[in-house]
Amino acid sequence: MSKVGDVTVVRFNDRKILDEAKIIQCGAELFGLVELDNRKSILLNFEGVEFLSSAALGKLITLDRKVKSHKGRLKMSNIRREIYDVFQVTKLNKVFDIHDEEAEAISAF
Amino acid sequence: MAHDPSVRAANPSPDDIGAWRLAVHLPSERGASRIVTEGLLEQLGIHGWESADVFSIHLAAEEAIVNAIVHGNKLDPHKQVYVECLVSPELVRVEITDEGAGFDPAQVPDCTSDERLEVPSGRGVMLMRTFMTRIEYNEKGNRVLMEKRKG
Repeated sequence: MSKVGDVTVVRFNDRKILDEAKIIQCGAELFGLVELDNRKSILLNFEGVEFLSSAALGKLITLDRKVKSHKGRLKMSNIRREIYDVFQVTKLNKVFDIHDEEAEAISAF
Repeated sequence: MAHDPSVRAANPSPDDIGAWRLAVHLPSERGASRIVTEGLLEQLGIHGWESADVFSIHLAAEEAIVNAIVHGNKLDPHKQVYVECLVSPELVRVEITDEGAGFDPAQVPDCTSDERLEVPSGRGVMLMRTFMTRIEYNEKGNRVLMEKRKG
């Protein structure tokens, strides 16, 4: 996790597989950023993430809702093709704010 | 645990000869899917499956096993999930049975509808259907057979 200006950038360094068990661990941390640390601009950089299941999608939906209810903004970037296909098939690419690359996402905040 | 014969994998065929097989009982705990997915992923690599298919098979297996654990067995420590896998260069087959009451997969609501789009759950069966070439539930709904054929 790092800060670029006002934007909190979260990276999933050891998390190439975001299955159900993993996302429950990460979820608590991510919710804490919003609810406890009051971060308003959060970017999830998915570089290195090779797998994501629907449990992770569920957590992302809940996170997105929390950020919005705290008047913040959540963006995502660097999502690989196969994972983006899952976002498309589930139509969640219309719900989330997704950019190709981190730099582009940061400048769009 | 009784096995009902109504959905059984086909009799041994050229696809099955020399294939890797796994048959295992999993506890109904979060994270138990890894007992299967780690070996399955390794074998997919050994059998020459390319990364897009590996992703699809991993996703479908993960979704189906989590469904069996969470929705089928309701995380009951007295219940297990039985998983059988087969991996050959041309075919992957995964069959998952839980000890729950079953369900009707035709009744799963459309997770992409406006009302359900932002619900955190309910996408597993749809993803299984999308990413595998064949999926069949038994009559009761506590067993699912999934296949991926190459090409």
